[in-house]
Amino acid sequence: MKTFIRVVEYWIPNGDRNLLEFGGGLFGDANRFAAISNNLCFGRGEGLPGQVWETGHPIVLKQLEGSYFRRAAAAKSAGLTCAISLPIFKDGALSAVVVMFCGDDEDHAGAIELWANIPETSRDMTLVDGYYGTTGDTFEFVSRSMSFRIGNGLPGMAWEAQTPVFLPDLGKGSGFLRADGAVKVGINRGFAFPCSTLDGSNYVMAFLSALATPIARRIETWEPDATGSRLMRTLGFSETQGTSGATEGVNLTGETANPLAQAFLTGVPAVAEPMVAIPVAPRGRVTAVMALHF
Amino acid sequence: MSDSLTTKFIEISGVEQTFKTRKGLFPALRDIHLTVAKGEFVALIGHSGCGKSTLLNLIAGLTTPTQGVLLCANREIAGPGPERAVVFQNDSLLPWLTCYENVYLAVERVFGAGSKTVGAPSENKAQLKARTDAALALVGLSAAALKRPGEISGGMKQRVGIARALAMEPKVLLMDEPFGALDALTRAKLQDELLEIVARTQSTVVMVTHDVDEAVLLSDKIVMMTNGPAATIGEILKVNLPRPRNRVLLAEDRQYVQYRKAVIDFLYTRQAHVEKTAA
Repeated sequence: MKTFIRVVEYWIPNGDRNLLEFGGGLFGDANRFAAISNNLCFGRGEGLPGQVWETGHPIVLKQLEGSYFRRAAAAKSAGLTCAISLPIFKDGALSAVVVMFCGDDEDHAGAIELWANIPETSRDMTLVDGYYGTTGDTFEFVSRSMSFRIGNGLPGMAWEAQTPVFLPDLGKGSGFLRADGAVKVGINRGFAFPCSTLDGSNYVMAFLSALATPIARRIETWEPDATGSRLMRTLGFSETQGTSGATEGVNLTGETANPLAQAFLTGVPAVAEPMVAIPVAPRGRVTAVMALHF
Repeated sequence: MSDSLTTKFIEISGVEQTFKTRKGLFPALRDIHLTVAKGEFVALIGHSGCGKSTLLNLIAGLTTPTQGVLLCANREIAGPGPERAVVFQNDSLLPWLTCYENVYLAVERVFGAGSKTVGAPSENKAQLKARTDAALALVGLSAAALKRPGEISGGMKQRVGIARALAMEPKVLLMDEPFGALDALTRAKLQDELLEIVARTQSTVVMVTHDVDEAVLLSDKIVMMTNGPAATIGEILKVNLPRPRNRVLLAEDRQYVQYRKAVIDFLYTRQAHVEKTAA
């Protein structure tokens, strides 16, 4: 089973905080692209990670070729044509920049949308940009016309909850308000999470997954319990195994090598193949960790 | 979008409406924030009891909000006024007056000697007559001017109501399911006429409707309300269909169909949610 997201990488500030250095990632069979990435670093405003650092907001780059993306040729040879990048802020400072890559071949059915609300100018959350793979423009057209209020629709729900939201079946009155259009183009699951910002703006990244190409093989959300001493799995879904059962949780106190705990405590993603743990840190505070299994 | 559609004309900020009932306080609306631009046609859509008419009444100044502020042209809406004319579902005509007299009454009140419009000189009878004739002509009722409401059809009565509202030269036309009581053919005809009238007068319109096709056909913006109690605005759909709009051509237009589906999705999903909650 191919996944909609093909490659995930993350970049972390160096000791002097003037460069972003390669932190790690999951590259699948894109070995050459991985090798090139390993040796790169980006200044503020340079390349996609540097742009995200500079703006402090997520960016959807639908066409890598001909853009400021510095590894376009290597990405193209690996079949990667689109990138979604988001900053992670913890305690008022950038802790990492995450980049996810997709391709535009026939297997890429699904969509990734970036929604934003700028409180000074509007109450609405509107589409910044989206990557729609092979879903055609039907779904994109409606998304571009729509705006959500807090608590409404998939983006509005993640905005309100300030943690990831998963809708396992978009076609059954799940609160996903574009259900008819979504089902028609094969999109059946929705996963959205609030992005990290420091300027009061609200950004939500929404993954809309099609039956044939899920966003990831398995999606999990881990959140701290009431005591704050353990991370508990609050959501778990696999395309092959369905919903996950309860777990004992992950200890957050003391020394820990657990990637989920590390991601939660440091605000930096952690990789334990075939899983990448990405901190969810709206408004500069880590509220959850999402684990994407490939 | 034209330049006029970028300026705020009606501003609704933090509006909440709670009614006192025998069973206690009933929160009808909460956290309503909405702007309507000059010349914009906005439809309010949602299930029964979602507070659409309550919101329209607030804009009309027929009720005052429990909390929040409503502005029209930068002035607080503190009560009803001729700059905000309302067309209701029932025609609300005076049955003992002719169509002409029904419209003339409103014209005289706004522009005649009894007018309370500050700074505006009152008009003479000939001017008032000209206004009344023009309004009836606008809705194609010149020939029925001397008939009484009981002598004309439901569609014609509603046209008199629209003529009466437009004759007051309101800054905003507020319509509460104006075509809801009419048969489908008459409704379609009046919708088409309203499209032409609004294009000519460049009116700002806020319309309450249950009709998805009506909302998409007429509107620049569809405001979708969540279910009550304590209803609020859930989604807003911008309808970027070029004007003038032709219902026959639009029936097969891809974008029209997609807009229509988006509104149906909202209503259908919400209705399912209601049933689930109730179960």
